[in-house]
Amino acid sequence: MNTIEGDSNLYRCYHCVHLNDAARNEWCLCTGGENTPVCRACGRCFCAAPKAWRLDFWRLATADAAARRRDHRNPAASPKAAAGLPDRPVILLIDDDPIVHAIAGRVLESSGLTGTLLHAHDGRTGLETAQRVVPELVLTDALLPLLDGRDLSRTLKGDPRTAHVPIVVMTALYKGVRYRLETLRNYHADRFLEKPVSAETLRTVVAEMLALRPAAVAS
Amino acid sequence: MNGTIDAAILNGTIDAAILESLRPLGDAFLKELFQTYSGYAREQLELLRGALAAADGTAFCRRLHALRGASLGVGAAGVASACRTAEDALAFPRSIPRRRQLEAIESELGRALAALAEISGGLRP
Repeated sequence: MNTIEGDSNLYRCYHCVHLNDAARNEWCLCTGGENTPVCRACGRCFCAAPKAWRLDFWRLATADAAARRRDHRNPAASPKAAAGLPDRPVILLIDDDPIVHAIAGRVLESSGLTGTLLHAHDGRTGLETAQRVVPELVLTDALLPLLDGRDLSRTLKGDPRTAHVPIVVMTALYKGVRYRLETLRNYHADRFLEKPVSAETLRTVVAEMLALRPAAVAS
Repeated sequence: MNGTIDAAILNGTIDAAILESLRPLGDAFLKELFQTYSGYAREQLELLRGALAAADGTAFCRRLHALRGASLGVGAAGVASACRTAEDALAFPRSIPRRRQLEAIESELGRALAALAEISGGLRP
């Protein structure tokens, strides 16, 4: 099993086999899932991993990891986490490309982001997460499984609860002025970035979009 | 940089600008990133082979797009370019994928992974 190795918090992601440290990772906010660490390479939690894999993980988990799981599940121990309330500001990254998740996670971590980066890998999960959490910023790919990122943008902008959330659409497909204007006008995105998005551009755009919360990102 | 990497940059296999933009993120991170890319790219290649065998142009295009996006991210410009060429060829009208399109991608991916392995070998652990 690719779970915790020895007496440590190390485990291999069931999806991309990246070696993770459960004590350092973000934890997911999946509804209906058990709340699990999010892989730092591909951005996947393991709520959807095979049951045998999950059981094995928790059987071998250190006391620290088990306690952290309890914190997420027990309102008395950690009401905020158990209620699904992440530290603010929340940035929701929606992309099916593990490279984008890895780079964005590293860029935001090295920028001194004090909030939470949530990961989604398809449009439908991204939309549901955005509606539930109401993040401070959404970064989404345009072409996504299950729901197009531009349609997701239009849906969120049309909902009074999420209309104020800044949305950045990133794409390697819909390039050029026509698509840029269409994305901004018809789908109401706030920014349009062509991929590949450099680390510097990502850092700058996130800082700009969170400008109302200047303490969120170090200069 | 050594000769292999210089050659990979000169012949368009690797985008030096993307690579340079990633360097500030740290050697350890870059090593992990290249490993992740290697695994993901091989996975997409398998899916492309499956789509080709099934003559499924839609699935083939979807996988091309996924591989192109990841390749752009790590600076594997040659793979991204080969994927783009195949995407363009399939787009109008949507047609059956061709073996030679996949062969071009396999060839570029082999070069890219070799160059990234070289670069990775020169990074601090």
